[in-house]
Amino acid sequence: MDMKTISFSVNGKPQKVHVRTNWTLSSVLREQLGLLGTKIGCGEGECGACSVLMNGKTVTSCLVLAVQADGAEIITIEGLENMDGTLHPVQEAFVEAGAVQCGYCTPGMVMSTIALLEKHPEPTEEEVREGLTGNLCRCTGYQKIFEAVQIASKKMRRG
Amino acid sequence: MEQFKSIGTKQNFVDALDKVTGKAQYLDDMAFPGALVGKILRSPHPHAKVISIDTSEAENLPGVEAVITAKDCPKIKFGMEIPDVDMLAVDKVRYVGDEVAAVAAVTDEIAREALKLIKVEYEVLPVVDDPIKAMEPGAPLVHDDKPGNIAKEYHIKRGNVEEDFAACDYVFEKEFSTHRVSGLYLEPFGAVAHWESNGRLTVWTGMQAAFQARNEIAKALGIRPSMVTVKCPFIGGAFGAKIWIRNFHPIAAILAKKTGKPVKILLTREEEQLTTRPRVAPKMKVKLGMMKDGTMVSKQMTIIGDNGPYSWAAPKVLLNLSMRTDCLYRYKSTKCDSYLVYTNLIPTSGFRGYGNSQSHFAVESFIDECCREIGLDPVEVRIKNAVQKGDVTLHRWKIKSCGLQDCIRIAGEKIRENRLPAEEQNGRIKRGIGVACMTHVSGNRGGEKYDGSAATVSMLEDGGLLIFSGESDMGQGAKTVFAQIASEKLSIPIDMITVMPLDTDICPFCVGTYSSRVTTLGGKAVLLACEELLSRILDLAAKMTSRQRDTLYVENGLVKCSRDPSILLTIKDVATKAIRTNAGVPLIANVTYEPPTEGADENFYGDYSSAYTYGAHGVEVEVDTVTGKVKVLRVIAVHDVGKVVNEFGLQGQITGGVAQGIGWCLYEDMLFKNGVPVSTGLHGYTYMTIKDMPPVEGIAIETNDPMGPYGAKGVGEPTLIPTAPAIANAIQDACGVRIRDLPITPEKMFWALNGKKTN
Repeated sequence: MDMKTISFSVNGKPQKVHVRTNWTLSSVLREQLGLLGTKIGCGEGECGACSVLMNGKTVTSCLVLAVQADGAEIITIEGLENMDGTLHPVQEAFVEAGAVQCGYCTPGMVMSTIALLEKHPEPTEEEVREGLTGNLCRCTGYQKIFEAVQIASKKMRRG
Repeated sequence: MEQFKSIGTKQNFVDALDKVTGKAQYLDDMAFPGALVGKILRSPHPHAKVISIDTSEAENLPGVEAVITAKDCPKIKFGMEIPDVDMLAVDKVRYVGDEVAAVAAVTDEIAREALKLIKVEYEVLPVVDDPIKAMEPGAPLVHDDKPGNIAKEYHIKRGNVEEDFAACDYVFEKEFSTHRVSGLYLEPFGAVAHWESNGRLTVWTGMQAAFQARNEIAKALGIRPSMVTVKCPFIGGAFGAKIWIRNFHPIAAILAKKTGKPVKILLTREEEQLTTRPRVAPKMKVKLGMMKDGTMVSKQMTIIGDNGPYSWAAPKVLLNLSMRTDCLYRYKSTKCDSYLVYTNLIPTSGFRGYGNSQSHFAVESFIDECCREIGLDPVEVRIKNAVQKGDVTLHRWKIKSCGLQDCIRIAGEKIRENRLPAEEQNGRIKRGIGVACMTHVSGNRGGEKYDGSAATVSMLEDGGLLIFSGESDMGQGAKTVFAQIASEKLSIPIDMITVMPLDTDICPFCVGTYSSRVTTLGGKAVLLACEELLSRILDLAAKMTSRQRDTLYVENGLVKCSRDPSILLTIKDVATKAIRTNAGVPLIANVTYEPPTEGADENFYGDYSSAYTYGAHGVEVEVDTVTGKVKVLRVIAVHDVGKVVNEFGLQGQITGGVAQGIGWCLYEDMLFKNGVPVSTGLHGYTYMTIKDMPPVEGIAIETNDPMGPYGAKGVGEPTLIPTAPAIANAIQDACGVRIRDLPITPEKMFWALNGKKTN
């Protein structure tokens, strides 16, 4: 298998990684860069647990080849906390709403919520359903996730 | 009324921060230096003889360190009640996914490559894919030593149903069935096995029942349980399918033994869907005898459960299927004949409800149908017949707390409020409401007839508290409940408490997270351990202050004296004194709690659960009578939980259970054609996404159970149980169609609606 060197930005830090052309973005994030917050639920792009932001848009990183991320800006769950350890408003909202149960879908769900609120700062119920439909959560029944999105929306608009 | 500081609040999960930041370590996030990747070669056939296996090419692939087949494994059949499992195929494969051989290699890619190089010669055998046909004389046998393909049967009789049916005003009979669905926990199951230099085996794996896993792994390997340690990392959901070990657990251990290195086996989603433990799929014939006034007199069921080829917990699931709904109403007599049948489809086991969900679908659907038939209000009939506190049921369950009538009444009232119009678009859209109720357990003194729990609490010199329990938190919030109970009892803030990771060498013996037992029994053990610890704190505080012991109490992290307000010690002062002086006392308490229950006898009589739980769901649905599509509009979920411990945890259990209930009823299905699964991984498996989720109003009824900690009972499984029959009942209310076979697909609806029109 061919090898290639890719340069990209991960959580604001420039990275240069030597990858095989069949490696996925999720495997590079987890195995080469040690960013284990991105979870793998299915490896087939169905469950959304591995969602990260690539150039501001959510992608299922288990389906993106690492070479496709060459030159891209990637944000993972590890990139959300501020330097002083305070959480991103979406993370705070998930905790406050009690929207975290087993936690395995949570990083992906948080990333998708950030992308959703970027597009729709005050999302309607339908927009929330549309924006998070690619993220499977098996524990919560989604109700508290709806609440978390609304709390996060308010927090972010307050700035 | 006792005022609580922690119990009953909306408490953020104690591990919410770890999870929301992605720092929580699940199995795949842990590092094991030098670990090899284990992969399993699985059968492509539902039923075949294994003629030969040639592993030589795989063994010669660079990077492969071990290849094993049955000849490398102990000749021990394992499994829970019926030992019918081989670690790797000995003579036959019995379902698509059955384990044939395994490899350990330095990378995942090499391990996958090696699997392709193993040559297996099969002789394909006739497939047994229908439990009814499997019981017929001359049917092919899944196990040669199991005649008639029967794995287990029960015959349970209370009173005389024949006599009582003869005296009933109405006797109805119909057949219901449910199907296989996947637990579909988001974190794939897996294990890392490593033999320590002292000869002991450590297995890291996210189990619901860690101690039982330890014992089963030991059984499969033919070693003493005390030679095995099970350590649980964070668990990404389980729902019953991670209670018991799978073949990969001992397989990882054999590979690790052979290579002398840690071996990690992590299932892919495709393997998960092939080999996870879905619900037992039963066909259930129900006969119900009623009087004109709505009195339910007798119930008879005949159940044929599809076990798959290996039986794990399915015999227990069948027992629940056969008994539990008998204790929902005050029947005069009941009878059940049930059979668990081997087939060549994926092995079944317990999934949220453990058989009780399946039988409730049949019974709660049928009662509704019968009431409509004779013109009675199904809600009123349920309330009239519901068991009540103080009852001793037909199986001798002693009902010490019961909010069933309230649950049914509230669900019935609330779902009638704020309804949408019954019809729209000239009658194309029809809407209706339905109610169904349930009973379940909080613990089950089955198996080895022990249903106790234990906890160790240890206070450190700064007043911080460590809790050790052998009951798992699989994401439902057990750690948080334990911390809340300790916080309440010891009057220390929750952030001073750590619930320790589960390690079978360190934590006290517990039977595990199933039967909705952890809050009720694990929580009680924590409460009693904290009581003992508090007693030691107050003994020492009495010495330190020279005050009478019985005048001392704790409040807000302080030790106070009821007779002398000037006496103020912090708990930390006492803890420091206890630990950092020669006259110190150990601030550690280890309590084993066994509830005053009784194991069922040979005729299945016995008050086997610490507390029985109740609930009712009201559902409003919308049916598109042209396409047959059903949409759930809203759900009222009322549950008798004894006492709310964590409002967040409770509501999460309710909405999560309802979501899985809707998914089971309308969308999810593991389909097979001639024994071969028709979908791979999640492709083609429809599950509940946020798009389909209706609003759920969760309502708690507090009946303050006399045994549970602070009156609490279990709620994990109950929340799923009434959803499916409530939906089926609402569908009949909307459009007159009754579907008795899950899932209720648009296709079934379409044909039923069209059949109805032509009639």
